[in-house]
Amino acid sequence: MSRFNNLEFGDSLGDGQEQNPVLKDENYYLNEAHRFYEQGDFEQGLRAYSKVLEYNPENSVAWTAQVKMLIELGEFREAKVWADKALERFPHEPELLAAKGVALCRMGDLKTAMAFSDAAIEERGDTAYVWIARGDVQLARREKHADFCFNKAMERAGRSWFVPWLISRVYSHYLKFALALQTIQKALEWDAGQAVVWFQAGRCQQAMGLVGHAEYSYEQAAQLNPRLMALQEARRQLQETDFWTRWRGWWRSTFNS
Amino acid sequence: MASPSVELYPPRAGFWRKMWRPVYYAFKREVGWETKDMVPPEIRGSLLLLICFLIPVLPVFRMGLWRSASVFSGGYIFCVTGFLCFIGEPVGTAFLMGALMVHGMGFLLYFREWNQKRLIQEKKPCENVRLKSRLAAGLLVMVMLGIVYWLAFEGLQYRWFFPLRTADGIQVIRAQKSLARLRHGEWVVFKIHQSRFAQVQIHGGLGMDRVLALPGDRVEFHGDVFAVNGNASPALTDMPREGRLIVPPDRCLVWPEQSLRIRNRFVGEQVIGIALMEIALVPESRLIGVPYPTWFGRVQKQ
Repeated sequence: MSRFNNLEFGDSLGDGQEQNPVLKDENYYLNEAHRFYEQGDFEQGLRAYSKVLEYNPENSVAWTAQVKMLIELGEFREAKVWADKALERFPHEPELLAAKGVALCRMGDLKTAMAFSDAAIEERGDTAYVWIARGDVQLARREKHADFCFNKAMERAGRSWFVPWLISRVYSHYLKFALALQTIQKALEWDAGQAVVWFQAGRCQQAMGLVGHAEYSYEQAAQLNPRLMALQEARRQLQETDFWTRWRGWWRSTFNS
Repeated sequence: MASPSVELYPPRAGFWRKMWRPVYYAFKREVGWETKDMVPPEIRGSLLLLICFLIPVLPVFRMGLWRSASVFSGGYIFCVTGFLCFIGEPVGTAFLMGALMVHGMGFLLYFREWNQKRLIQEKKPCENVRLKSRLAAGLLVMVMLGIVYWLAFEGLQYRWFFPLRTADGIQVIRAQKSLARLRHGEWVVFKIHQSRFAQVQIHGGLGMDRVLALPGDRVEFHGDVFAVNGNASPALTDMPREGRLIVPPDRCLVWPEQSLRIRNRFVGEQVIGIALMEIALVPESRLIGVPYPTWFGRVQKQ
Protein backbone atom coordinates (compact mmCIF):
# COMPACT_ATOMS: atom_id res chain seq x y z
CA MET A 1 0.00 0.00 0.00
CA SER A 2 1.43 3.35 -1.00
CA ARG A 3 2.00 5.97 1.67
CA PHE A 4 0.27 8.50 -0.58
CA ASN A 5 -2.99 6.54 -0.64
CA ASN A 6 -4.67 8.66 2.01
CA LEU A 7 -3.97 11.96 0.25
CA GLU A 8 -6.74 13.59 -1.76
CA PHE A 9 -5.73 14.56 -5.26
CA GLY A 10 -8.32 16.47 -7.25
CA ASP A 11 -11.60 14.59 -7.33
CA SER A 12 -10.34 11.23 -6.15
CA LEU A 13 -11.94 9.84 -3.00
CA GLY A 14 -10.64 6.55 -1.70
CA ASP A 15 -8.58 3.74 -3.17
CA GLY A 16 -8.40 2.87 -6.80
CA GLN A 17 -11.20 5.07 -7.94
CA GLU A 18 -9.14 6.72 -10.68
CA GLN A 19 -9.93 3.76 -12.94
CA ASN A 20 -13.67 4.08 -12.26
CA PRO A 21 -15.35 5.38 -15.41
CA VAL A 22 -18.37 6.66 -13.44
CA LEU A 23 -18.95 10.41 -13.80
CA LYS A 24 -18.02 12.02 -10.49
CA ASP A 25 -20.49 14.81 -10.08
CA GLU A 26 -22.68 16.19 -7.33
CA ASN A 27 -25.02 13.18 -7.41
CA TYR A 28 -22.14 10.73 -7.32
CA TYR A 29 -20.67 12.28 -4.17
CA LEU A 30 -24.12 12.67 -2.62
CA ASN A 31 -24.73 8.92 -3.05
CA GLU A 32 -21.26 8.18 -1.71
CA ALA A 33 -21.93 10.42 1.30
CA HIS A 34 -25.27 8.74 2.02
CA ARG A 35 -23.54 5.36 1.76
CA PHE A 36 -20.89 6.42 4.29
CA TYR A 37 -23.64 7.75 6.58
CA GLU A 38 -25.52 4.47 6.42
CA GLN A 39 -22.29 2.56 7.12
CA GLY A 40 -21.73 4.64 10.24
CA ASP A 41 -18.54 6.13 8.78
CA PHE A 42 -19.32 9.71 9.74
CA GLU A 43 -15.80 11.02 9.15
CA GLN A 44 -15.82 9.95 5.49
CA GLY A 45 -19.44 11.05 5.24
CA LEU A 46 -18.45 14.54 6.32
CA ARG A 47 -15.75 14.67 3.66
CA ALA A 48 -18.08 13.40 0.97
CA TYR A 49 -20.78 15.96 1.82
CA SER A 50 -18.09 18.66 1.57
CA LYS A 51 -17.32 17.35 -1.92
CA VAL A 52 -21.00 17.70 -2.78
CA LEU A 53 -20.87 21.32 -1.67
CA GLU A 54 -17.84 21.94 -3.85
CA TYR A 55 -20.04 21.10 -6.82
CA ASN A 56 -23.11 22.84 -5.50
CA PRO A 57 -22.82 25.12 -2.46
CA GLU A 58 -26.60 25.57 -2.51
CA ASN A 59 -27.31 21.91 -1.75
CA SER A 60 -29.24 22.19 1.51
CA VAL A 61 -29.24 18.41 2.01
CA ALA A 62 -25.43 18.36 2.12
CA TRP A 63 -25.26 21.31 4.54
CA THR A 64 -27.80 19.64 6.84
CA ALA A 65 -26.07 16.29 6.60
CA GLN A 66 -22.73 17.86 7.56
CA VAL A 67 -24.33 19.13 10.75
CA LYS A 68 -25.75 15.65 11.37
CA MET A 69 -22.32 14.09 10.82
CA LEU A 70 -20.73 16.45 13.36
CA ILE A 71 -23.45 15.56 15.87
CA GLU A 72 -22.83 11.85 15.33
CA LEU A 73 -19.09 12.48 15.80
CA GLY A 74 -19.85 14.12 19.15
CA GLU A 75 -18.65 17.57 18.03
CA PHE A 76 -21.71 19.49 19.12
CA ARG A 77 -20.21 22.93 19.34
CA GLU A 78 -18.80 22.61 15.83
CA ALA A 79 -22.20 21.32 14.67
CA LYS A 80 -23.85 24.41 16.12
CA VAL A 81 -21.33 26.72 14.44
CA TRP A 82 -21.83 24.95 11.12
CA ALA A 83 -25.62 24.97 11.51
CA ASP A 84 -25.48 28.73 12.08
CA LYS A 85 -23.48 29.11 8.89
CA ALA A 86 -25.90 26.91 6.95
CA LEU A 87 -28.93 28.74 8.37
CA GLU A 88 -27.58 31.98 6.88
CA ARG A 89 -28.23 30.35 3.49
CA PHE A 90 -31.30 28.26 4.35
CA PRO A 91 -33.11 29.92 7.25
CA HIS A 92 -36.32 27.91 6.70
CA GLU A 93 -34.83 24.43 6.23
CA PRO A 94 -36.72 22.23 8.76
CA GLU A 95 -34.09 19.49 9.11
CA LEU A 96 -31.35 22.09 9.57
CA LEU A 97 -33.34 23.79 12.32
CA ALA A 98 -33.97 20.39 13.90
CA ALA A 99 -30.28 19.45 13.68
CA LYS A 100 -29.29 22.71 15.34
CA GLY A 101 -31.81 21.89 18.06
CA VAL A 102 -30.08 18.54 18.60
CA ALA A 103 -26.64 20.17 18.75
CA LEU A 104 -27.92 22.68 21.31
CA CYS A 105 -29.66 20.13 23.52
CA ARG A 106 -26.57 17.93 23.58
CA MET A 107 -24.60 21.01 24.66
CA GLY A 108 -27.05 21.51 27.52
CA ASP A 109 -28.91 24.52 26.07
CA LEU A 110 -32.29 22.87 26.47
CA LYS A 111 -34.63 25.88 26.19
CA THR A 112 -33.02 27.16 23.00
CA ALA A 113 -32.95 23.62 21.61
CA MET A 114 -36.70 23.32 22.13
CA ALA A 115 -37.24 26.65 20.39
CA PHE A 116 -35.36 25.36 17.32
CA SER A 117 -37.27 22.09 17.38
CA ASP A 118 -40.54 24.06 17.51
CA ALA A 119 -39.32 26.17 14.59
CA ALA A 120 -38.53 23.01 12.60
CA ILE A 121 -42.08 21.74 13.11
CA GLU A 122 -43.53 25.16 12.25
CA GLU A 123 -41.63 25.10 8.96
CA ARG A 124 -43.82 22.10 7.99
CA GLY A 125 -40.97 19.76 8.79
CA ASP A 126 -42.74 16.43 8.80
CA THR A 127 -39.77 14.19 8.05
CA ALA A 128 -38.60 11.32 10.21
CA TYR A 129 -35.44 13.22 11.15
CA VAL A 130 -37.37 16.26 12.43
CA TRP A 131 -39.32 13.95 14.78
CA ILE A 132 -36.16 12.08 15.84
CA ALA A 133 -34.53 15.41 16.62
CA ARG A 134 -37.57 16.48 18.63
CA GLY A 135 -37.44 13.21 20.54
CA ASP A 136 -33.74 13.85 21.19
CA VAL A 137 -34.52 17.27 22.67
CA GLN A 138 -37.37 15.82 24.76
CA LEU A 139 -35.06 13.09 26.09
CA ALA A 140 -32.46 15.68 27.06
CA ARG A 141 -35.19 17.66 28.85
CA ARG A 142 -36.37 14.42 30.53
CA GLU A 143 -39.88 14.87 29.21
CA LYS A 144 -42.28 12.01 28.63
CA HIS A 145 -43.18 12.88 25.05
CA ALA A 146 -39.96 11.53 23.57
CA ASP A 147 -41.60 8.16 22.82
CA PHE A 148 -44.42 9.91 20.99
CA CYS A 149 -41.90 11.74 18.79
CA PHE A 150 -39.98 8.56 18.02
CA ASN A 151 -43.24 6.76 17.18
CA LYS A 152 -44.05 9.59 14.77
CA ALA A 153 -40.62 9.12 13.19
CA MET A 154 -41.20 5.36 12.90
CA GLU A 155 -44.53 6.00 11.14
CA ARG A 156 -42.59 7.95 8.51
CA ALA A 157 -39.84 5.33 8.26
CA GLY A 158 -41.63 3.18 5.67
CA ARG A 159 -39.93 0.01 6.98
CA SER A 160 -36.52 1.60 6.52
CA TRP A 161 -33.96 0.24 9.03
CA PHE A 162 -32.23 3.61 8.99
CA VAL A 163 -34.80 5.41 11.17
CA PRO A 164 -34.86 2.92 14.08
CA TRP A 165 -31.06 2.79 13.87
CA LEU A 166 -30.90 6.57 14.34
CA ILE A 167 -33.43 6.42 17.18
CA SER A 168 -31.44 3.68 18.85
CA ARG A 169 -28.32 5.82 18.65
CA VAL A 170 -30.20 8.69 20.32
CA TYR A 171 -31.34 6.41 23.16
CA SER A 172 -27.74 5.14 23.52
CA HIS A 173 -26.46 8.69 23.84
CA TYR A 174 -28.73 9.21 26.85
CA LEU A 175 -27.67 5.81 28.27
CA LYS A 176 -31.15 4.29 27.80
CA PHE A 177 -29.78 1.03 26.51
CA ALA A 178 -32.89 -1.11 27.06
CA LEU A 179 -34.95 1.23 24.87
CA ALA A 180 -32.08 1.46 22.40
CA LEU A 181 -31.99 -2.35 22.15
CA GLN A 182 -35.75 -2.57 21.76
CA THR A 183 -35.63 -0.05 18.88
CA ILE A 184 -32.69 -1.63 17.11
CA GLN A 185 -34.48 -5.00 17.19
CA LYS A 186 -37.17 -3.38 15.04
CA ALA A 187 -34.44 -2.38 12.57
CA LEU A 188 -33.17 -5.97 12.58
CA GLU A 189 -36.69 -7.21 11.83
CA TRP A 190 -36.88 -4.91 8.84
CA ASP A 191 -33.38 -5.51 7.48
CA ALA A 192 -30.96 -7.91 9.14
CA GLY A 193 -28.41 -7.45 6.37
CA GLN A 194 -26.97 -4.19 7.72
CA ALA A 195 -23.70 -4.46 9.63
CA VAL A 196 -24.25 -1.18 11.48
CA VAL A 197 -27.55 -2.43 12.87
CA TRP A 198 -25.89 -5.55 14.29
CA PHE A 199 -23.08 -3.39 15.61
CA GLN A 200 -25.54 -1.04 17.35
CA ALA A 201 -27.35 -4.05 18.83
CA GLY A 202 -24.00 -5.34 20.09
CA ARG A 203 -23.19 -2.01 21.70
CA CYS A 204 -26.51 -1.95 23.56
CA GLN A 205 -26.10 -5.57 24.69
CA GLN A 206 -22.55 -4.92 25.81
CA ALA A 207 -23.65 -1.86 27.80
CA MET A 208 -26.34 -3.96 29.50
CA GLY A 209 -23.85 -6.66 30.39
CA LEU A 210 -25.25 -9.19 27.89
CA VAL A 211 -21.78 -10.19 26.81
CA GLY A 212 -22.70 -13.41 25.00
CA HIS A 213 -25.38 -11.67 22.94
CA ALA A 214 -23.01 -8.80 22.19
CA GLU A 215 -20.35 -11.24 20.95
CA TYR A 216 -22.93 -12.82 18.63
CA SER A 217 -24.07 -9.40 17.32
CA TYR A 218 -20.49 -8.26 16.68
CA GLU A 219 -19.82 -11.53 14.91
CA GLN A 220 -22.78 -10.90 12.57
CA ALA A 221 -21.60 -7.33 11.98
CA ALA A 222 -18.07 -8.55 11.20
CA GLN A 223 -19.42 -11.10 8.70
CA LEU A 224 -21.45 -8.44 6.92
CA ASN A 225 -18.76 -5.74 6.94
CA PRO A 226 -15.33 -6.68 8.37
CA ARG A 227 -14.07 -3.12 7.82
CA LEU A 228 -16.80 -1.52 9.93
CA MET A 229 -15.47 1.45 11.89
CA ALA A 230 -15.02 0.91 15.62
CA LEU A 231 -15.90 -2.80 15.42
CA GLN A 232 -12.38 -3.92 16.31
CA GLU A 233 -12.27 -1.56 19.26
CA ALA A 234 -15.69 -2.71 20.51
CA ARG A 235 -14.66 -6.38 20.25
CA ARG A 236 -11.44 -5.67 22.10
CA GLN A 237 -13.40 -3.98 24.89
CA LEU A 238 -15.72 -6.97 24.99
CA GLN A 239 -12.75 -9.31 25.41
CA GLU A 240 -11.66 -7.26 28.42
CA THR A 241 -15.06 -7.48 30.12
CA ASP A 242 -14.56 -8.81 33.63
CA PHE A 243 -16.00 -12.01 35.08
CA TRP A 244 -18.76 -10.37 37.17
CA THR A 245 -20.14 -8.41 34.20
CA ARG A 246 -20.25 -11.63 32.18
CA TRP A 247 -21.91 -13.48 35.05
CA ARG A 248 -24.51 -10.70 35.52
CA GLY A 249 -25.26 -10.76 31.80
CA TRP A 250 -25.67 -14.54 31.82
CA TRP A 251 -28.04 -14.29 34.85
CA ARG A 252 -30.12 -11.61 33.16
CA SER A 253 -30.36 -13.48 29.87
CA THR A 254 -31.21 -16.78 31.61
CA PHE A 255 -33.75 -15.68 34.21
CA ASN A 256 -35.10 -12.31 33.08
CA SER A 257 -35.94 -13.01 29.47
CA MET B 1 -16.32 23.27 -9.86
CA ALA B 2 -18.25 26.10 -8.20
CA SER B 3 -16.66 28.81 -6.08
CA PRO B 4 -13.61 27.10 -4.58
CA SER B 5 -13.12 30.05 -2.21
CA VAL B 6 -16.18 29.06 -0.16
CA GLU B 7 -15.22 27.26 3.02
CA LEU B 8 -17.08 24.00 2.74
CA TYR B 9 -15.46 21.88 5.38
CA PRO B 10 -16.66 22.52 8.94
CA PRO B 11 -14.41 23.33 11.89
CA ARG B 12 -13.37 20.29 13.93
CA ALA B 13 -12.92 19.74 17.63
CA GLY B 14 -9.46 18.85 18.89
CA PHE B 15 -8.64 15.84 21.04
CA TRP B 16 -8.74 17.67 24.39
CA ARG B 17 -11.97 19.44 23.58
CA LYS B 18 -13.58 16.10 22.79
CA MET B 19 -12.32 14.82 26.12
CA TRP B 20 -13.60 17.51 28.48
CA ARG B 21 -16.66 18.82 26.67
CA PRO B 22 -19.00 15.84 27.36
CA VAL B 23 -18.40 16.33 31.08
CA TYR B 24 -19.11 20.05 30.80
CA TYR B 25 -22.27 19.48 28.74
CA ALA B 26 -23.55 16.81 31.15
CA PHE B 27 -22.92 19.23 34.02
CA LYS B 28 -24.80 21.99 32.20
CA ARG B 29 -27.74 19.65 31.57
CA GLU B 30 -27.85 18.60 35.22
CA VAL B 31 -27.62 22.13 36.57
CA GLY B 32 -29.90 23.57 33.89
CA TRP B 33 -27.53 26.27 32.73
CA GLU B 34 -28.16 27.80 29.35
CA THR B 35 -25.17 29.27 27.55
CA LYS B 36 -27.14 32.40 26.70
CA ASP B 37 -28.06 32.91 30.37
CA MET B 38 -24.51 32.53 31.63
CA VAL B 39 -22.73 35.31 29.76
CA PRO B 40 -24.43 37.89 27.51
CA PRO B 41 -23.19 37.41 23.91
CA GLU B 42 -22.02 41.00 23.59
CA ILE B 43 -19.45 40.59 26.37
CA ARG B 44 -18.62 36.90 25.75
CA GLY B 45 -15.71 37.71 23.41
CA SER B 46 -14.24 40.27 25.78
CA LEU B 47 -14.64 37.94 28.76
CA LEU B 48 -12.86 35.18 26.88
CA LEU B 49 -10.06 37.60 26.04
CA LEU B 50 -9.75 38.51 29.71
CA ILE B 51 -9.62 34.84 30.73
CA CYS B 52 -6.94 34.22 28.10
CA PHE B 53 -5.04 37.23 29.47
CA LEU B 54 -5.11 35.90 33.01
CA ILE B 55 -4.44 32.18 32.43
CA PRO B 56 -0.96 31.51 31.00
CA VAL B 57 -0.64 29.37 27.82
CA LEU B 58 -4.44 28.95 27.57
CA PRO B 59 -4.58 31.27 24.51
CA VAL B 60 -2.12 29.06 22.62
CA PHE B 61 -4.23 25.97 23.39
CA ARG B 62 -7.36 27.83 22.28
CA MET B 63 -5.71 28.64 18.96
CA GLY B 64 -5.19 24.91 18.44
CA LEU B 65 -1.40 25.27 18.11
CA TRP B 66 -0.67 22.09 20.02
CA ARG B 67 3.08 21.92 19.46
CA SER B 68 3.59 25.57 20.33
CA ALA B 69 1.30 25.13 23.34
CA SER B 70 3.44 22.23 24.56
CA VAL B 71 6.60 24.33 24.18
CA PHE B 72 4.96 27.31 25.91
CA SER B 73 3.66 25.08 28.74
CA GLY B 74 7.07 23.49 29.20
CA GLY B 75 8.76 26.90 29.21
CA TYR B 76 6.27 28.33 31.65
CA ILE B 77 6.48 25.38 34.05
CA PHE B 78 10.31 25.54 33.89
CA CYS B 79 10.33 29.28 34.65
CA VAL B 80 7.81 29.02 37.50
CA THR B 81 9.72 26.10 39.04
CA GLY B 82 12.96 28.09 38.77
CA PHE B 83 11.29 31.11 40.32
CA LEU B 84 9.95 29.08 43.26
CA CYS B 85 13.28 27.34 43.74
CA PHE B 86 15.25 30.60 43.87
CA ILE B 87 12.52 32.82 45.27
CA GLY B 88 13.90 36.06 46.66
CA GLU B 89 17.23 35.67 44.81
CA PRO B 90 18.14 37.61 41.64
CA VAL B 91 18.07 34.30 39.68
CA GLY B 92 14.49 33.77 40.89
CA THR B 93 13.55 37.20 39.62
CA ALA B 94 15.07 36.33 36.22
CA PHE B 95 12.96 33.16 36.13
CA LEU B 96 9.88 35.22 36.99
CA MET B 97 10.65 37.55 34.08
CA GLY B 98 10.90 34.48 31.85
CA ALA B 99 7.49 33.25 33.01
CA LEU B 100 6.07 36.70 32.43
CA MET B 101 7.47 36.77 28.88
CA VAL B 102 6.07 33.31 28.03
CA HIS B 103 2.68 34.36 29.42
CA GLY B 104 2.73 37.63 27.51
CA MET B 105 3.88 36.10 24.21
CA GLY B 106 1.10 33.50 24.34
CA PHE B 107 -1.48 36.20 24.92
CA LEU B 108 -0.10 38.48 22.19
CA LEU B 109 -0.33 35.64 19.64
CA TYR B 110 -3.97 35.12 20.59
CA PHE B 111 -4.71 38.84 20.66
CA ARG B 112 -3.50 39.26 17.09
CA GLU B 113 -5.88 36.53 15.89
CA TRP B 114 -8.75 37.87 18.01
CA ASN B 115 -8.24 41.36 16.64
CA GLN B 116 -8.24 40.13 13.04
CA LYS B 117 -11.49 38.23 13.63
CA ARG B 118 -13.02 41.34 15.17
CA LEU B 119 -12.03 43.46 12.17
CA ILE B 120 -13.51 40.88 9.79
CA GLN B 121 -16.76 40.81 11.80
CA GLU B 122 -16.96 44.59 11.80
CA LYS B 123 -16.11 44.53 8.05
CA LYS B 124 -13.07 46.78 8.54
CA PRO B 125 -9.86 46.38 6.51
CA CYS B 126 -7.25 44.06 8.07
CA GLU B 127 -4.08 46.03 7.47
CA ASN B 128 -0.65 45.01 8.67
CA VAL B 129 -0.01 46.55 12.06
CA ARG B 130 3.09 48.76 12.13
CA LEU B 131 6.14 47.75 14.13
CA LYS B 132 5.78 50.70 16.53
CA SER B 133 2.19 49.73 17.33
CA ARG B 134 3.20 46.11 17.84
CA LEU B 135 5.99 47.11 20.21
CA ALA B 136 3.65 49.43 22.09
CA ALA B 137 1.04 46.67 22.40
CA GLY B 138 3.70 44.23 23.59
CA LEU B 139 4.99 46.69 26.16
CA LEU B 140 1.48 47.47 27.38
CA VAL B 141 0.65 43.77 27.77
CA MET B 142 3.88 43.16 29.70
CA VAL B 143 3.21 46.11 32.01
CA MET B 144 -0.36 44.96 32.63
CA LEU B 145 0.79 41.40 33.30
CA GLY B 146 3.45 42.75 35.63
CA ILE B 147 0.73 44.57 37.59
CA VAL B 148 -1.41 41.39 37.69
CA TYR B 149 1.54 39.33 38.98
CA TRP B 150 2.45 42.00 41.53
CA LEU B 151 -1.15 42.15 42.80
CA ALA B 152 -1.24 38.36 43.00
CA PHE B 153 2.01 38.24 45.02
CA GLU B 154 0.86 41.07 47.26
CA GLY B 155 -2.36 39.21 47.95
CA LEU B 156 -0.63 35.89 48.51
CA GLN B 157 2.50 36.78 50.41
CA TYR B 158 1.10 37.06 53.95
CA ARG B 159 -1.55 34.41 53.32
CA TRP B 160 0.55 31.59 51.89
CA PHE B 161 4.32 32.00 51.71
CA PHE B 162 6.91 34.68 51.00
CA PRO B 163 10.69 35.18 50.99
CA LEU B 164 12.40 37.13 53.75
CA ARG B 165 15.94 38.41 53.52
CA THR B 166 17.83 37.83 56.80
CA ALA B 167 21.45 38.06 57.86
CA ASP B 168 21.75 34.31 57.08
CA GLY B 169 20.32 34.63 53.57
CA ILE B 170 16.83 34.22 52.11
CA GLN B 171 14.31 32.37 54.27
CA VAL B 172 10.98 31.25 52.81
CA ILE B 173 8.26 31.84 55.38
CA ARG B 174 4.97 29.95 55.69
CA ALA B 175 2.09 32.15 56.85
CA GLN B 176 0.95 31.21 60.36
CA LYS B 177 -0.96 33.58 62.56
CA SER B 178 -1.97 31.34 65.44
CA LEU B 179 -0.23 31.20 68.80
CA ALA B 180 -1.67 27.75 69.44
CA ARG B 181 0.58 26.12 66.84
CA LEU B 182 3.84 27.70 68.08
CA ARG B 183 6.39 25.68 70.03
CA HIS B 184 9.20 26.75 72.37
CA GLY B 185 12.42 27.47 70.51
CA GLU B 186 10.76 27.73 67.09
CA TRP B 187 11.77 30.56 64.76
CA VAL B 188 8.94 32.97 64.16
CA VAL B 189 8.47 36.05 61.97
CA PHE B 190 6.57 38.93 63.54
CA LYS B 191 5.71 42.49 62.76
CA ILE B 192 7.48 45.32 64.60
CA HIS B 193 5.61 48.60 64.66
CA GLN B 194 7.47 51.87 64.52
CA SER B 195 7.43 53.34 68.02
CA ARG B 196 9.27 55.51 70.52
CA PHE B 197 9.87 54.81 74.20
CA ALA B 198 11.54 57.60 76.16
CA GLN B 199 14.67 58.32 74.08
CA VAL B 200 14.62 54.98 72.24
CA GLN B 201 13.43 55.12 68.61
CA ILE B 202 12.32 51.77 67.17
CA HIS B 203 12.01 51.39 63.38
CA GLY B 204 9.16 49.30 62.04
CA GLY B 205 9.51 46.16 59.91
CA LEU B 206 9.63 42.39 60.26
CA GLY B 207 11.59 40.57 62.94
CA MET B 208 12.63 36.92 63.07
CA ASP B 209 13.70 35.28 66.31
CA ARG B 210 13.10 32.24 68.46
CA VAL B 211 9.99 31.82 70.63
CA LEU B 212 11.14 31.87 74.24
CA ALA B 213 7.85 31.61 76.12
CA LEU B 214 4.23 30.91 75.28
CA PRO B 215 1.00 32.20 76.92
CA GLY B 216 0.88 31.40 80.66
CA ASP B 217 4.63 30.67 80.95
CA ARG B 218 6.45 32.14 83.95
CA VAL B 219 9.63 34.07 82.97
CA GLU B 220 12.27 35.22 85.46
CA PHE B 221 15.32 37.42 84.74
CA HIS B 222 18.18 37.15 87.16
CA GLY B 223 21.62 38.53 86.33
CA ASP B 224 23.18 36.62 83.42
CA VAL B 225 20.40 34.03 83.19
CA PHE B 226 16.71 33.95 82.49
CA ALA B 227 14.36 31.05 83.28
CA VAL B 228 11.15 29.94 81.60
CA ASN B 229 9.01 27.83 83.93
CA GLY B 230 12.16 27.18 85.97
CA ASN B 231 14.38 26.12 83.02
CA ALA B 232 17.33 28.50 83.10
CA SER B 233 19.24 29.71 80.01
CA PRO B 234 21.96 32.35 79.48
CA ALA B 235 20.49 35.84 79.16
CA LEU B 236 20.30 37.32 75.68
CA THR B 237 21.63 40.74 74.65
CA ASP B 238 19.97 43.68 76.44
CA MET B 239 17.67 41.46 78.52
CA PRO B 240 16.58 42.99 81.86
CA ARG B 241 18.91 42.09 84.75
CA GLU B 242 16.08 41.56 87.23
CA GLY B 243 12.38 40.95 87.07
CA ARG B 244 9.69 38.37 86.44
CA LEU B 245 6.53 38.15 84.40
CA ILE B 246 3.80 35.77 83.32
CA VAL B 247 3.22 35.83 79.57
CA PRO B 248 -0.33 37.14 78.88
CA PRO B 249 -2.79 34.74 77.20
CA ASP B 250 -2.72 36.43 73.77
CA ARG B 251 1.05 36.95 73.54
CA CYS B 252 4.32 35.10 73.28
CA LEU B 253 7.82 36.15 74.28
CA VAL B 254 10.26 36.56 71.38
CA TRP B 255 13.40 38.45 72.33
CA PRO B 256 14.41 40.58 69.31
CA GLU B 257 18.11 39.77 69.51
CA GLN B 258 18.58 39.05 65.79
CA SER B 259 15.94 41.46 64.55
CA LEU B 260 17.14 44.74 66.03
CA ARG B 261 20.47 46.49 65.87
CA ILE B 262 21.03 49.22 68.42
CA ARG B 263 22.75 52.11 66.69
CA ASN B 264 23.94 54.18 69.69
CA ARG B 265 23.91 53.70 73.38
CA PHE B 266 23.48 57.15 74.87
CA VAL B 267 20.54 55.86 76.94
CA GLY B 268 20.69 53.56 79.92
CA GLU B 269 20.49 49.76 79.56
CA GLN B 270 17.41 49.67 81.73
CA VAL B 271 15.53 51.98 79.36
CA ILE B 272 16.60 49.87 76.36
CA GLY B 273 15.53 46.72 78.22
CA ILE B 274 12.07 48.12 78.92
CA ALA B 275 11.71 49.29 75.30
CA LEU B 276 12.74 45.87 73.97
CA MET B 277 10.33 44.13 76.35
CA GLU B 278 7.52 46.10 74.68
CA ILE B 279 8.54 44.51 71.35
CA ALA B 280 9.35 41.11 72.82
CA LEU B 281 5.84 40.41 74.07
CA VAL B 282 4.41 39.77 70.60
CA PRO B 283 0.60 39.77 70.37
CA GLU B 284 -1.06 37.16 68.14
CA SER B 285 -2.17 39.89 65.72
CA ARG B 286 1.49 40.67 64.89
CA LEU B 287 2.49 37.11 64.10
CA ILE B 288 3.32 36.57 60.41
CA GLY B 289 4.66 33.04 60.00
CA VAL B 290 7.34 30.45 60.53
CA PRO B 291 10.12 29.39 58.13
CA TYR B 292 9.68 26.14 56.19
CA PRO B 293 12.18 23.52 57.49
CA THR B 294 13.43 23.02 53.91
CA TRP B 295 12.71 24.76 50.61
CA PHE B 296 13.50 22.83 47.43
CA GLY B 297 16.24 20.90 49.23
CA ARG B 298 17.64 23.98 50.97
CA VAL B 299 17.73 23.61 54.78
CA GLN B 300 16.35 26.69 56.52
CA LYS B 301 16.45 28.00 60.09
CA GLN B 302 14.96 25.50 62.55
